[in-house]
Amino acid sequence: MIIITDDEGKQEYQKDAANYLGKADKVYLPETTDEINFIVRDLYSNDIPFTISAARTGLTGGGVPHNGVLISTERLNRIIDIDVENKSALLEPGVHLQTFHDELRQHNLMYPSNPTETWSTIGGNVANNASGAKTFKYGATRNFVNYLEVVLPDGDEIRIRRGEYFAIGNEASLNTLSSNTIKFSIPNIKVPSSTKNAAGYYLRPNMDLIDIFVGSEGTLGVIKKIGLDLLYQSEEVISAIVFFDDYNNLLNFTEYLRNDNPRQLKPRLIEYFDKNSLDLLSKHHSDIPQESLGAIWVEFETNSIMLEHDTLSLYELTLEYTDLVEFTWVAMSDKDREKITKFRHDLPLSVNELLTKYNQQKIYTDTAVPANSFRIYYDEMYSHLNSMGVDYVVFGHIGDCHLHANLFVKNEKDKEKAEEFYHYMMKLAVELDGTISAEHGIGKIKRPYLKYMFSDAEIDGMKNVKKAFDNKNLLASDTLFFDR
Amino acid sequence: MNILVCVSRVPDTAAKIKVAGDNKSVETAGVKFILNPYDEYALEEAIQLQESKGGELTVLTVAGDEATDVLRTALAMGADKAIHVKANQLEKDSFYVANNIANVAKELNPDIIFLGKQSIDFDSFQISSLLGGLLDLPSVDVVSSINYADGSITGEKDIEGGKESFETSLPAIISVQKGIKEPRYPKLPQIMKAKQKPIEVKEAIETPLRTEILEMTLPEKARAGKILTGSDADIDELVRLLHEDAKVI
Repeated sequence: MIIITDDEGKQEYQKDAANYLGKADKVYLPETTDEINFIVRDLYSNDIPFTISAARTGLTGGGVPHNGVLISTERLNRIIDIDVENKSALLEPGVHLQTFHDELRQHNLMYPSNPTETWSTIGGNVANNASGAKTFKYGATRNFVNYLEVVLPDGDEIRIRRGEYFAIGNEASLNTLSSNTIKFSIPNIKVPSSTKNAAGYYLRPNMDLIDIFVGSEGTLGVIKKIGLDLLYQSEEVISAIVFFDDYNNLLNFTEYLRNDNPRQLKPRLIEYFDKNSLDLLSKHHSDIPQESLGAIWVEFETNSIMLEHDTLSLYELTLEYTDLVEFTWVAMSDKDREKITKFRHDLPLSVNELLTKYNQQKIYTDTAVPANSFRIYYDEMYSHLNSMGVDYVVFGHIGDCHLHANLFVKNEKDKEKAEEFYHYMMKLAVELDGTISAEHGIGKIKRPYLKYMFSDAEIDGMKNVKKAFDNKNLLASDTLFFDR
Repeated sequence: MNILVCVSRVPDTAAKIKVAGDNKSVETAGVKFILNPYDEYALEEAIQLQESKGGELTVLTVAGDEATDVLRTALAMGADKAIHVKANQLEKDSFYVANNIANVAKELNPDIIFLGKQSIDFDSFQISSLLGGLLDLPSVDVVSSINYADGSITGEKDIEGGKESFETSLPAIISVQKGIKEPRYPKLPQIMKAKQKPIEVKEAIETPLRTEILEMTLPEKARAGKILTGSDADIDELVRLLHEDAKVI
């Protein structure tokens, strides 16, 4: 194990990708998974608070400690096993997503959870139930987690396989390796109708108890090993960027693809770029048509027999919905597809670059709503954005009705308006039966807004779950909730 | 202006290459193939030239049956027609390919022939020079920028540690460097149209090979680095490693 105590060495561990700043007394880098149990047992017996992080690509401060020890799982980066026959993998938490994707490709396998940030780690992804563009078809990380080894805040351990332990109604109990039993009640909480949600614990009566750990933002235990289900790579993929000169047509096109349709086009992802996003990207991409008001990136999985048919269907559909068909980009090789993926990835990077230039903290929405209220949400968002006089870009996972509006505030007055907008969008999302955070989680930054979505009783119910695992409140004590 | 672009079908850059059982060739099972990336740059340069000066853009490959896919990609990017010189023999060396290109070029009489500076599979780097010899035309390699005038071109080519300016009469053979123009994405209507564009098939002239592959092996893996900290024990270990492993002290 490596222990970092000097200020310079600790510096990079005290902030995340949103520039959220914290403080750690010490940073521990375990080099074997079993060291985690040892470290945690020691911290517990000495009443020292601790927090877990890995790649620090999070955007809500969940991996940044306020005090105590930070345990970074970055060195636990072994892919322990890839079982090609059973399409399953066992990993340590610090494996980078990109490393895993690359390794799987050699076996003709894929792991569909693909947050835009591929430097993130599998452990971080599980802790946050990460999602990405392909979540539209495949759902978030949770759907692929089949096994977890979790070190509890006292150093004991739970090993749980999907399908093994279920809650009975609202009562849950889990056995640890040292034959202790953790019992807790599952509070009845409101579950939003949006297809994505990353706010609060996943709690349902009769739930599979492995799911309590997925998306718990590192507050219930330290993830030590992860088993994941995998899929075969699709034989062929059609990837296209379709440009529109009319917003209504763009939304109609998206709705057509989001639903079952007569052409049987079932995308694996539908992503949105607004005019300002395209303007920002056009500095590096000369073939974005100037008359374009927005674009949709869409990908379909197909096979060599259906490739031609599906390409024709997409062509006919675009002819119906946009006058800019002649500009539609299509990736015909994996390499071109990676270029399109990079085009999308470049967007948040360009936004972050601009923010650094203005020396401003990121103010952006992570809200999502159910499909039937998306138009209201979309129209309201733009009517506010356009009346504010603050520069913005909007992009994101329109397939899941989940958009990121990023605001560029240049002065205090802008900041005030931006924050007002930010609060308005969260309240609107909740009103429309959506969520305040669809993928980035609550962490520390979004703690004040949990109450927009949940009643005090619901939040207390979640806190009680936390207490059952961590009665001393030592692990990530400032994540998700305020006082306990 | 009539333009000929020579393209090659190569394993995907991300493919994990294995040597086949004969120890002389690459195992193709399970490997995805793509249009040679350097040829994509050549094609983009050619398309932009055609857009500004008009004329016909032909794309050509010397390969087995399987290469239709890269010709379709080139047609979708904007080539007008394709010529597929069908090579029946499995083993082809640079001379074989260049001789077949030259044979077609003599018929087509293009004003300019573009190709990538090398194909990323065998990296032999020879086709453009061989073509120059076979067609008795000027041949400029690793070109990174071109200006077009009537009957001649000027430009720059990459050389070790710098750039070299050149001027040549046309017709000429130009092999292009990465980045000369960023290749475009095929556009959806172009992909649909590409299916209707003609691919002319010609039988290859079977010439004896001038080189022979004796054996193919994967490069040795680079040795993993060792990280030592500054402790006293590690300093002793460093001295031992430099002495016994690296044998430099």
